[in-house]
Amino acid sequence: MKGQSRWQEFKASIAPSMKEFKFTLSKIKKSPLSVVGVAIIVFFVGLAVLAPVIAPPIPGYDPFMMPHTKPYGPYPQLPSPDHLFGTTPGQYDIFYGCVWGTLTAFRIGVLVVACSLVIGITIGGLSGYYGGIVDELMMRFTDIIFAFPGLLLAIALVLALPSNITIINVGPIKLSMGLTSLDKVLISFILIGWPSYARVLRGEVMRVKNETYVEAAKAAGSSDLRIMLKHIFPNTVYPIIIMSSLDIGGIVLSAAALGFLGIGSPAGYSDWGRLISLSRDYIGSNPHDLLAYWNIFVIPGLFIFFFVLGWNLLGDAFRDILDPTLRRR
Amino acid sequence: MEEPKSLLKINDLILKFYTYEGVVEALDEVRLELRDGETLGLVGETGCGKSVTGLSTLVLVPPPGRIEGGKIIFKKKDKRYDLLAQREEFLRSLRGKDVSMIFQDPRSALNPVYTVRDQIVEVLMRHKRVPLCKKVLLRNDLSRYERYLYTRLLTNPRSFTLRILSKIPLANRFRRRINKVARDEAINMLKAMRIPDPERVVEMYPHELSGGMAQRTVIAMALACSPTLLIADEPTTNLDVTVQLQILNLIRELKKEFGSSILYITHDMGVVAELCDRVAVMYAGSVVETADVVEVFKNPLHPYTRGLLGSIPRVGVPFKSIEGTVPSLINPPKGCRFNDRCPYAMYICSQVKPKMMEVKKEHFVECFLYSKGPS
Amino acid sequence: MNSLIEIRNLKTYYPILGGVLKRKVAEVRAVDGVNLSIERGECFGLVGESGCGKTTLGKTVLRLLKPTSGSIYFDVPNDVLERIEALEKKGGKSEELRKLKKEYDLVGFRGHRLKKIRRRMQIVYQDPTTSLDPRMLVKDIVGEPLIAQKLAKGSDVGKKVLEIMDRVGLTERHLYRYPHEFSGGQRQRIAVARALVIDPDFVVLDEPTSAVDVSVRAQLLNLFEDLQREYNLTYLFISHDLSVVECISDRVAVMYVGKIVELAETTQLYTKPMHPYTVALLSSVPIPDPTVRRDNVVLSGDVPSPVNPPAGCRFHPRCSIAMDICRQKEPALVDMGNGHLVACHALTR
Repeated sequence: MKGQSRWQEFKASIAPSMKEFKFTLSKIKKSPLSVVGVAIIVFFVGLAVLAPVIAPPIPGYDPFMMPHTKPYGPYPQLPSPDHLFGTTPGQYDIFYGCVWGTLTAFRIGVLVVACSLVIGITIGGLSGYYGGIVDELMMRFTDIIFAFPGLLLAIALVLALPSNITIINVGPIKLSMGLTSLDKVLISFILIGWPSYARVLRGEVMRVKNETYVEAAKAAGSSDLRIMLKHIFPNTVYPIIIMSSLDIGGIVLSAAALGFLGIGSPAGYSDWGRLISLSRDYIGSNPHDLLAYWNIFVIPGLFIFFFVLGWNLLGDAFRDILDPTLRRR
Repeated sequence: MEEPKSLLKINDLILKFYTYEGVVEALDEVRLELRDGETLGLVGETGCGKSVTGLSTLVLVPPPGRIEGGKIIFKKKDKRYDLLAQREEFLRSLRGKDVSMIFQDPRSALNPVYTVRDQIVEVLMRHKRVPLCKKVLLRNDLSRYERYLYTRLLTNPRSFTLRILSKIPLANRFRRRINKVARDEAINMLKAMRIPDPERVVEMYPHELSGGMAQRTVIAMALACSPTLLIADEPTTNLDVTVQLQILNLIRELKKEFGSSILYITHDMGVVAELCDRVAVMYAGSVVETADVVEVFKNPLHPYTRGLLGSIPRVGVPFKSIEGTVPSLINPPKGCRFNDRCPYAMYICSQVKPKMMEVKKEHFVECFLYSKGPS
Repeated sequence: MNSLIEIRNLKTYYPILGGVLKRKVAEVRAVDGVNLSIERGECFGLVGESGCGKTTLGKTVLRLLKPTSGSIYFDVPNDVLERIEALEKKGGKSEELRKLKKEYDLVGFRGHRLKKIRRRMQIVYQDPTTSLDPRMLVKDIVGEPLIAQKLAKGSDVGKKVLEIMDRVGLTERHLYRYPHEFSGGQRQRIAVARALVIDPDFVVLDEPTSAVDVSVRAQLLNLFEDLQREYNLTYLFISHDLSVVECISDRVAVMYVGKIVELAETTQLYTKPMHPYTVALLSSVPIPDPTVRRDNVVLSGDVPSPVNPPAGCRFHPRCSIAMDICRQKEPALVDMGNGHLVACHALTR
């Protein structure tokens, strides 16, 4: 160890992780569907990052609100050089809506999944590790949430959440927060989403808890917290990663469904579901030519489709790569 | 050189595994010969390739393994077949009937959702359908319909109409006859395995059996069709030492009763001394020494065999081990694979792989120490 | 010279839960009343077949399992032990007995005291594949006891880890790798390094050579012997491999379904075994010499389950010299001379 610079030590310490990482990459390359999934997600990330460049927002307005353009006619317009994807009834630019909708989708998906993960992992981990009455209570609570049909519960929660919540109200200190309707949707999805993670993690923790190396750590005198963070967590987290990447797509789909029903983002917000909901009246409105206004639902629909597909493929890819039984083939 | 008495002859078998880390050269020109009625012990340590040799004999090596060369010549009813050149149909008719295998962990070799009866009957139905039909037809309480069906089955055991018929509820009641006969056969097999109270055991599930009983069930499945060759892959390693003694005695007795030859794969030299007639020692993918069991223990020629026998713990003697570790088979060393650990290694050992030579009568070694004349 | 470990009437039962309300339906009597004392510096062998409770005993001594009843004394002076024994004989519920037990009996240790005593006793497991965390680097695995016990910090940890790795025959290159990159023998060495890095007094070796090859076994046994001499360790060597135990242990105890049936000095036990189970066990070990044909004592039946052990002497259903009293009364361990203890009615008439 003497005479070795810090950089060399660092390189040596991450060398085995790098080897594992390279192995993982090679496995990804072998499966064509995973490559497609990665490509799709990379495309969407690029779109989200470059949104201000591709569809410049009107200065002075919230970039997420789609611009109205004159003439204000009720009919949607087909794609034209002015509006690349055409406009919705109400003259919202679909191109703008789809591009900024990517940002919204990421925001919804990543935020909801991240918060669900944090809550789910904490509750599931404690529940699985300690068992007993703690486990019973937590699991009965998740049972309650599972008993309701997801989307209905989400709608109910969205409608029930107040628009203004007061966090601290002690004497002179008063801290309150306004919740936009989109925030309400996010919170309700989080509240419905965490039980699945808790359940899965609890199962995994119960399996790993009895492994010999955990017992060896106990024999060395490690504290419970140390065991949970250093031994149990790294060995149980992989199924959760797979679930979460599949869920990002699922959450966006559900949010789009709510958006279509009119719950969620306010009118004029760039959200794919919203776009389709704006077009509700004009889908198939012309009985002689059902695809007369195809751009108003096909294009946002395709965005949703590919986004969810990309995350699904990525999740499958993760599962194929990270599943320890398949890994070493 | 054709040995007229050899039941199984493996010539220059080459097996490679294509993995991410590289090509594992698991078997490198393995030469093995098993004679009629003998128990050949295949000894070696972890990773030497003894288990895959057993699997190769049944041509059951899973991918990414690929057999790349050699011949496996098996004698069936006085005709010799190269198993590697046969079609899957033929091999399937061999497995379970002429060549059987028993594995190390009896609990995982048995399907946990089927009873003992189901598992033994499965083997019987696959291979012994005609004799079972004959037994059914001997009964005199068959209806005319059943008699007709079973005579049909006798002439054409794999009759398509009968297979369809056996899937239709109510019409497949004829199956109970053959099921009963098969069940009686299964109980007979268990009796032959010296299992007490076979009527009760035959209806048990694998998790209700102890290790010894589970292994006896596996042996019953393997011997149900009286195979000429039994391959045993470390069947007693996972068992307690007193149960191991029971099973070894059982295998010895059954060999006489059923007339099988046994290829016994193990790493325990004590078991080899107890059970085997001849011994083949494997190291890193090749057979390095083959001889009669007394010869091998009294007069080991290959340095690895000497090291192996020397490292058996003995009271009062300091522990002796073999220097170094088994080489990785992904890029195996040139020449003799033991040369980097061999106390007698010569220059040629690192360049050329030695060939199997008959140094004394019936005592074969692969080592340059015993080659006569300039190499 | 006091004994390092004193085990008095130790019992470890596992409850079997059943029924709708998950009540305790039966118990697995893994360790059912064991008395043992291990001297400082000796290698004490514990043999038996699967299910006899030897692994449970080893883990209970280390408090990795919760004992149901009994006492374990670790490095307690002889006079204190005698006092405790005297008080117990008087049928004690005395205050003094309670205080002494609270201070010395390992069974009652919790929390911080337990953590401190763990520093002095460690374990090497049977299967090195499962006993090492597959997602941790070797240097973290070996360094963990130091960090958990707060014995070293920062670069000190690295130094100590390197020291012990060197001592077990591994090099610096091996530090930054994952366990699956090593062979079985090397992994077992890593497990040994982890056990010894905090310099314990007592090490439980739970079948440490069962999962490795014969040639590697000898290397490991040499290592154990050298380390015992160098670090002045006391071993509890648990194994079902009788030939290995014969070579490395000073004294050996034979367990059967949760109880010790025979205990003696190694040479005594192997040359003059007394208990019928020991005799059967020793004769069933295959000898690596084809010219020796032995009269094997083949035991009928299987090892009884520890849930419902036979009444009286547990061995009586399989014993060739069973008498009436064997079916009714459990035999106690009796000293037959020279510290050779046997629990058998037929022999201790």
